[in-house]
Amino acid sequence: MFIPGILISIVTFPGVIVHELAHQLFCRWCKVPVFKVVYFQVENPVGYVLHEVPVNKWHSILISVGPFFINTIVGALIAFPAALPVFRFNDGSLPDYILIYLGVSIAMHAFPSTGDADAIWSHVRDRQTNLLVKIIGYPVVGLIYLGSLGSFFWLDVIYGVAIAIGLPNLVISLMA
Amino acid sequence: MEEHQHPAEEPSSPAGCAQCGFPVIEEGYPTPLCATCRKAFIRFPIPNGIKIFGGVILLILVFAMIKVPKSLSAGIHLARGRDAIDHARYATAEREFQQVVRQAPKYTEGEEYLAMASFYNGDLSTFFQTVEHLEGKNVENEDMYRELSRLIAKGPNYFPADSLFAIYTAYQKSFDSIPEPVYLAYMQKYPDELFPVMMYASVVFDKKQYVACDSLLDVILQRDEIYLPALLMKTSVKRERSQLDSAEQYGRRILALNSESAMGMSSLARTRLKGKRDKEGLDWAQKAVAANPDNVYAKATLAMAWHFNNERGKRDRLLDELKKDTAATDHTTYVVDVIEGREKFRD
Repeated sequence: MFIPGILISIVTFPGVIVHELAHQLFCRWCKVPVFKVVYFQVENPVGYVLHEVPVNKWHSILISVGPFFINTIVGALIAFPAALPVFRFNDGSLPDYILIYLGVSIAMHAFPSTGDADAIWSHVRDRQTNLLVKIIGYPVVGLIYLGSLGSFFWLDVIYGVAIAIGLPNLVISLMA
Repeated sequence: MEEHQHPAEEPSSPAGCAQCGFPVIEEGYPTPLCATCRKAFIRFPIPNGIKIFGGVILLILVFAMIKVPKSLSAGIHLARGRDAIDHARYATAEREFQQVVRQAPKYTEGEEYLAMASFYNGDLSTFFQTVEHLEGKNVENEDMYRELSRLIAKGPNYFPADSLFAIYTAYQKSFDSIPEPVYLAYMQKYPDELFPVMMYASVVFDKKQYVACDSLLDVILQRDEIYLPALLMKTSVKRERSQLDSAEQYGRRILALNSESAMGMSSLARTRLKGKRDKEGLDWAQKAVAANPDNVYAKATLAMAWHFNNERGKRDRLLDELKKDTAATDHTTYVVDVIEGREKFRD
């Protein structure tokens, strides 16, 4: 069954907003001017942040991949307490289902977009960029493109579900 | 859902801030902006709606974090319980699944595991309570369904039928007081019941008729190979008959059913003590008490082990403690008789 990506984004809009907000906040923390923010819209791209090209290459990487960590951590923490009652104990309440919905929505929008990858790419290929940034930057760009490609195969949804449901089980099995 | 980087202004752009035209711009950046405008763009305003949205997400995050410890605890109990089931550590499994069921009362699988663990742990009251609670619920796991059905079918073996209960009531509510001919007549009339055979075996054991007792226990174990009271008595009978290898084997069978059985460990301890392997006997007795500190048989065994290992002080302290517990009277009396030579435990 083909479900348009835009429809998935509409249903999981909280994740898009958190993603764009994270971009904006990373710009603020890196002291990079922001000229426009679209937190959510019903067209492609569903959200974006227009900002100045950072002078510091590390800031460029941070702004691009920051939302990946924010969305992952926030999604995991929100879904964590509901994963077991809903998927294991068959004891989930309405708040538990809301937490799962939010957790999956936020975590599945963790993946940086190709736009994010382009931003890093333009920096790492610059001759003046130092070797360490290149060593870290190229694999990051590669992974982002792979993730973007994987979204055709629902990789973003699978990632969201894995973070929201799989991670709690992993943590528990490590702690038990 | 992406970020776009604003291209640097062309060198041909008019001098001054690109936003307000102020002639002094901050150098070193791709976009010509004055300090005020740069600061303003860095702190690009977040709309109130988004602030409220972010606040709600933060509140939900806090709410979730408050719930995390409870969920984590239930999950850890579940994981530990399942691991204990896999390794036949049923005392641990029962303890862990008690917690799981308390925290997630609608979790049917948790109750199924609790029932199984309590049966093998010899806690029949919890087993029957849990099974009663499971009545009418759908057991989805077919293996579990078969196992529970098998255990439930064994239930009647552990309690007197109404007809035996009537006899028990007639004889001062004591199975030991029922005369042997009455037992024999009853067993002939109700050959399918295991409980009267076990009670009769106990009467015969008390009369030190160990060969007869051994045969009765064989009858029971042929029909129910995991009948714990019979396995336990087997270890005692074999010890009394000086068949220590066989006593050891039955003790091992108990531990194979439940590796944390304090009774199984105690029986091994007594077998070692009987064979004058006192240090090993003490080790097993200590393990038994560690596995279940409330088990009076295990404590009595430890007192006996202290005795044979010449630890009189520890022996007497434990006996003093046991003497205060009325549930331990029979076991304590036996140990005191062994210590004072009234009961011959070993050569």
